[in-house]
Amino acid sequence: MENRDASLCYIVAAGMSKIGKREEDGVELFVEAFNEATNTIEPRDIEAVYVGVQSERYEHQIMYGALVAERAGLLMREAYRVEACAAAGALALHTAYMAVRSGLYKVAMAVGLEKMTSKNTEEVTDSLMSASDYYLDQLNGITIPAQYAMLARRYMHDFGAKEEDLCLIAVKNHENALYNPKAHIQRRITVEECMNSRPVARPLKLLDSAPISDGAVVVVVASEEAARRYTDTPVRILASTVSSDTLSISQRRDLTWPRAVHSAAEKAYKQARLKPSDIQLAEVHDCFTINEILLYEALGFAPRGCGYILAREGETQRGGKIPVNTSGGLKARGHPVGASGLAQIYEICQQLTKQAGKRQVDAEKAIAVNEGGVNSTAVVHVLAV
Amino acid sequence: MSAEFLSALCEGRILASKCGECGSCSLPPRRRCPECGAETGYVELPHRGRIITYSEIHVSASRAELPYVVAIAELGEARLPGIVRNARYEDIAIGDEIEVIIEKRPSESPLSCWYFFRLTKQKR
Ligand SMILES: CC(C)(COP(=O)(O)OP(=O)(O)OC[C@H]1O[C@@H](n2cnc3c(N)ncnc32)[C@H](O)[C@@H]1OP(=O)(O)O)[C@@H](O)C(=O)NCCC(=O)NCCS
Ligand SMILES: [Zn+2]
Repeated sequence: MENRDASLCYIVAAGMSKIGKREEDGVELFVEAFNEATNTIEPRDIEAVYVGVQSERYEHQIMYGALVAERAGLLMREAYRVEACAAAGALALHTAYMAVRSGLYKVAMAVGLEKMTSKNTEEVTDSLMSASDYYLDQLNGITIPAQYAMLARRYMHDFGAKEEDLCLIAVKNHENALYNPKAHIQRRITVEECMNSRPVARPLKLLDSAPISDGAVVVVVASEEAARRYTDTPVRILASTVSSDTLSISQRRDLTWPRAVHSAAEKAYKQARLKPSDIQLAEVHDCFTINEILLYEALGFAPRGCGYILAREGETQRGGKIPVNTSGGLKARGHPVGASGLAQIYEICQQLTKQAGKRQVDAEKAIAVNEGGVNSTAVVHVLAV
Repeated sequence: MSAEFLSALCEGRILASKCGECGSCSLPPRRRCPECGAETGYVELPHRGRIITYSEIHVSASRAELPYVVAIAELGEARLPGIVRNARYEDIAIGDEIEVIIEKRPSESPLSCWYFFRLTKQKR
């Protein structure tokens, strides 16, 4: 693919609701994000709407594409929902990207949203479990946290990481969220607190886990010509890629290698004509601490089995070699499942356009990894200014 | 092919598929290899194998009794997840041996039979 082609889709606006336990319903959270995004663009220019939502179990509501178009004053547009569990948000952006790259539309909107806190933790756990293989995992009561826990157990066994190493990720991401006014959890934690937090699926504990959150994010993309009408400093999408793996981790030959993420990242680096060492900032899918470590390796930030060493050395903190999850990540910014992929994109746009306030880092090229299931569908974006 | 898996299970057999070209094994059995798309054939798995990873679940909607232990076991060339009935987290290590126990379910349950793991030998 020509590099010239890869610069044909731009992010021209983004907005995000405050993430947390919110009173509002999902579509009201969308409006909050939409109002921010449309400060700088004409909303009526939007020709297509793609909405990532994980589940109708929380609000008993599907048809979110049409619903969002209705609330945005965009009736009669192409508008529909896309789904890949927690990868739904980035998948909505991938769909908008394809719509613009294909020449079908000049301006398209990606939306991610979830209103989870209307249900209790057991119901949420059950709803998330539908992302796993029905026979192999659901019938055996193997929850999503337990799948990540089994990855963690094996990783610790194979490479010598300790539970404390996993907690380092939580400590870092909680620290970053202190400087993000929209983050769900703004509380400094210690490794000791994390180690003493109650078990969710051993060896993973409450403070290894992302919280259950409500939130919505809007990202508007445009062709080169349309982008110029809105802004002189659009964020370029250098790559947008997707790969899929088995639903059940039990059917993977190499448990601790997130192969779909690696595959999507390889495609993305190739599209963007970049290598891992060119990347200066990353937002990765840390739904459980272990996954951030696995993703360091799949993205090529650390050799196989050495992701936890990178964390120990502090290289992924702000000010380190490659800052990861400056927003606080899913862990502390919060994890409204269908919105998280776009919350990553929102953070990268804030950083690349120097609007990240106290958590600002110096970066011009960034990568985002959003995944659904247990690294079963991986969506990777490379962005640059 | 999940139906074949279930009916074989009720006859006391654990049925997987194996690719004729790349040799990879899958559960539940399927006609095409997920890796390479080639056609597969059936293979029967041994009922004993080793634990390759495990967890103990403390938050769940699907079972009344918490916590419970789950594991993935290597049975011959395939891998099967399941519940380990007779062990706590502290009792288990990677490499421990399990046996697959198939049991009949009450007639009103949607599955006429299912399985669980029994820890048989500890590695240490
Ligand atoms: C970890 C988890 C089980 C905790 O839920 P819970 O046991 O019901 O916890 P509660 O809601 O009772 O919260 C207890 C306290 O911990 C806080 N808390 C809850 N989850 C938290 C988390 N993940 N991290 C930090 N703090 C958390 C709450 O704010 C609350 O604090 P407060 O008492 O000061 O208000 C739940 O957050 C969870 O299931 N997370 C994983 C979600 C998931 O799987 N996402 C999809 C992955 S792809
Ligand atoms: Zn094959």
